[in-house]
Amino acid sequence: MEEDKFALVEKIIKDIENVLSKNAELYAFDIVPVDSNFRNKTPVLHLENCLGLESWCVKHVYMYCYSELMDKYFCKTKRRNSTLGSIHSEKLGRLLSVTLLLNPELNTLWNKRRDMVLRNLLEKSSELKLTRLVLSRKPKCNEAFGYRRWLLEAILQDENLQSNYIQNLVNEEFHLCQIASDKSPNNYHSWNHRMWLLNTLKKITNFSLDLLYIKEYNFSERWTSKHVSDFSCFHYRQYCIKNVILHLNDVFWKMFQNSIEIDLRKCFVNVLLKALQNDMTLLNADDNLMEYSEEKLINLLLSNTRNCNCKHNNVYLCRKFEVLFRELVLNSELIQFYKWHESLWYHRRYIVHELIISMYEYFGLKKQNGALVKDNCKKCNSNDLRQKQVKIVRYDCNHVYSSAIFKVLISHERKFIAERNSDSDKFAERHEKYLKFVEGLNIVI
Amino acid sequence: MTHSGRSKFEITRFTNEDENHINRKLPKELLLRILSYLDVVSLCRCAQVSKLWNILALDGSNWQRIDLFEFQRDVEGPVIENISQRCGGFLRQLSLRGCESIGDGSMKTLAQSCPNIEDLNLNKCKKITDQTCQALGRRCSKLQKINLDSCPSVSDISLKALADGCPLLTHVNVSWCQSITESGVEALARGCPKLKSFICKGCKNVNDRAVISLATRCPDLEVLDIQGCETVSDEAVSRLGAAAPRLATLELAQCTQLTDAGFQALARNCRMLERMDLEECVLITDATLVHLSMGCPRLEKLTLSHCDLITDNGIKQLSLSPCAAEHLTVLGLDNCPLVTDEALEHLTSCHNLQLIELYDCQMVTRNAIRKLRNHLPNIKVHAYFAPVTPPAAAGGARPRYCRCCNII
Repeated sequence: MEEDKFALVEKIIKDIENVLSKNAELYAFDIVPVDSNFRNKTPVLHLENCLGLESWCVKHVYMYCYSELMDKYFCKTKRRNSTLGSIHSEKLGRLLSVTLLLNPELNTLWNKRRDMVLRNLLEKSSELKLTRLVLSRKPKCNEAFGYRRWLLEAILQDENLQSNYIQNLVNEEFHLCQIASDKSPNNYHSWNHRMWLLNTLKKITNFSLDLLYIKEYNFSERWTSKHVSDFSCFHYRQYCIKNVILHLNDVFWKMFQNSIEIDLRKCFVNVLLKALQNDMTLLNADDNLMEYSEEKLINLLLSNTRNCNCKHNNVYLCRKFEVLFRELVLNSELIQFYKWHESLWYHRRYIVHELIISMYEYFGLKKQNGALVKDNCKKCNSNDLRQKQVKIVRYDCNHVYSSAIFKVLISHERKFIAERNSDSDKFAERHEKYLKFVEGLNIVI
Repeated sequence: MTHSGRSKFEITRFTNEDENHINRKLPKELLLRILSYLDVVSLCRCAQVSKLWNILALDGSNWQRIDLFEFQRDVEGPVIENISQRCGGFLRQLSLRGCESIGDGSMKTLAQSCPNIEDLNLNKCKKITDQTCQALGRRCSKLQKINLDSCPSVSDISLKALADGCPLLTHVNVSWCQSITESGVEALARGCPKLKSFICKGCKNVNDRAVISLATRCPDLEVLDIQGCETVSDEAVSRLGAAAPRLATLELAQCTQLTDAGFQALARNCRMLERMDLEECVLITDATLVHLSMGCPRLEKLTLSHCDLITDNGIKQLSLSPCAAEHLTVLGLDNCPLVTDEALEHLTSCHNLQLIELYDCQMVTRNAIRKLRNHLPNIKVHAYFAPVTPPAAAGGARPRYCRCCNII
């Protein structure tokens, strides 16, 4: 009886291997729940580029494969491990594929595959295909993602790759991450993988990332608008925003503006005008803020006194503000539309935090141990030691708090919180507490 | 003895000074005899024991049969060169299966230093080319068995060189050497009339003429494996039948053009057929089974996978044949969709049947398999039916004895 079971499992393994090797377009694998088999038919199903295995045989196949692997290939005889020739490797490869399809969380087996790849017994492209199948069934399997990262790192290290080859790889990777994120909500691993990919691409020399940053920014916007509780995606969006903010040169800015349908300046100006309605001292009636240059706008919103005389890049700062304020408006819309989603509020915290930090930075301050202290200007290293610490802090605080942009932000937030409170959104109160006690704005809110 | 590097004087010097029991009790001839039974790894270890043992272990006479399969890719050129130097004329059998790093240079050295080699296995030595075989043909006239499976650079030139230089060849395996064509095979047949076994799986260019020349010129042919040679037709098979009466093993998997006519002729003459593989010969019908059952009383292994036209009738004829009761041990019927439970009933009379393959025979049911197992308790039936898990052992708690009662 035992012999029969081994023969059956070996035949099933062979059938699976046949499908894997003959069909390069396979994209999904799953176990089909079938109670028991009454017919003498193979349990390996292959339809429309999907591979299926009937559930009645899974137990037998897995037990057999696992015990074979552990007994024969993972035991401690040094001789066997060191001379893994091509004759043993085929059988080993087959066993590993089947076992990993059924249970991909065994890192020992993935390590064995890494060993085989290093000895050129397995090809990287077929490994990528196998992980794709694994991830179609278990989208949260970090071992599979980790293996993919290892493979991609090895592939991308090759200097002679052509850029459209890299582009194809990248597209496929993003597609895979998207599918995995779709199948499982809040899939930290797939979003993390996406971030890793962008970080790795930064190190490649002949690949331009500007378009990719913009594309990812827009992608994350669409995704977060549809999946409002996917906090992993919000984390990714924060990463995308950071990427955009770090590359605000003219070329990039033009591309960025073209890709977004909304006029960022208009959005920013709307917020400013709404908030500054009552305080018209800064604005003349016939001034059109839309026409202002970036420098002029910054000078208007943040008064020009700074601690040192280094030239601060006001253009970049203005653009940064435009991006962040736009994000704030979008976030407000989403909160109003989808009530009671905590992730949206936490994202709002991030946006507000970024805005406040930028303002502090402009004035040469930073938050240390809960209080605002002077920061050494990184460019000119001036350090004003003349006055006592406490007085300086107080003075600069007032300075910061009385700048126009700060007042805009605070009034905007105050109005929003009030409005949400009236709509019985319990997170509004928490947000207020956050601003008061974590950001230290209890004086002004 | 003089092939070892040291002289007789040195051997006596070492034996006289030796205090070890074993070396005093056993004469060196006996030690040599014992060492001759050891494999390569043990011999190398023995050679590190003492100076006397070094001389004895590395003596050429212990190195007549070497198998380096365990080392595969670690074996490189210098290893072969050292071996050929040490073994010299003693080397008879060398297996380099899986040693992918071996190249022509080392093999030429081997051919030069070891002219008495009889059995050479170069399975999967991918770097070997025709030059090796030419060197072998020139120097190693005693070569009897050569295995060039999966050496893709080997072509007709090799076969011609071997045919010219090694008339004693009995076993030749050139599977997956895609450049082999009928001219090489004809040359081989002409030059090696003692050929008993010829295996050329996957050599798509081997055609009828090649098979016919083998059949006519090699009357001793017992094993012929032309799996994957799709161009072979009935003509070749019938000529084979006529000219090679000693044929015992015939593997014709994937030779899709064969029909009943060829097997009719074959079965008339080849009475000694024991193993036949007809996988994917899709045109054959029950008539072939009738011919085989009448003409081949010694049939032991028969594979009919993917032969769609086989029905229960054919199996019935097979079970009534003289080979069925005593000889038939392995029957492969997987992917024959017309086989039903009735066939299994007929097979109950095959008392020696040990293995039957029924994968994807959709009309076979579990009941029939169970009945077959009742009749033939030793049979292994390979089908897609999941093995039934035995029920949990009833009454799991064993009666306990207290120790004193057990002892008393």
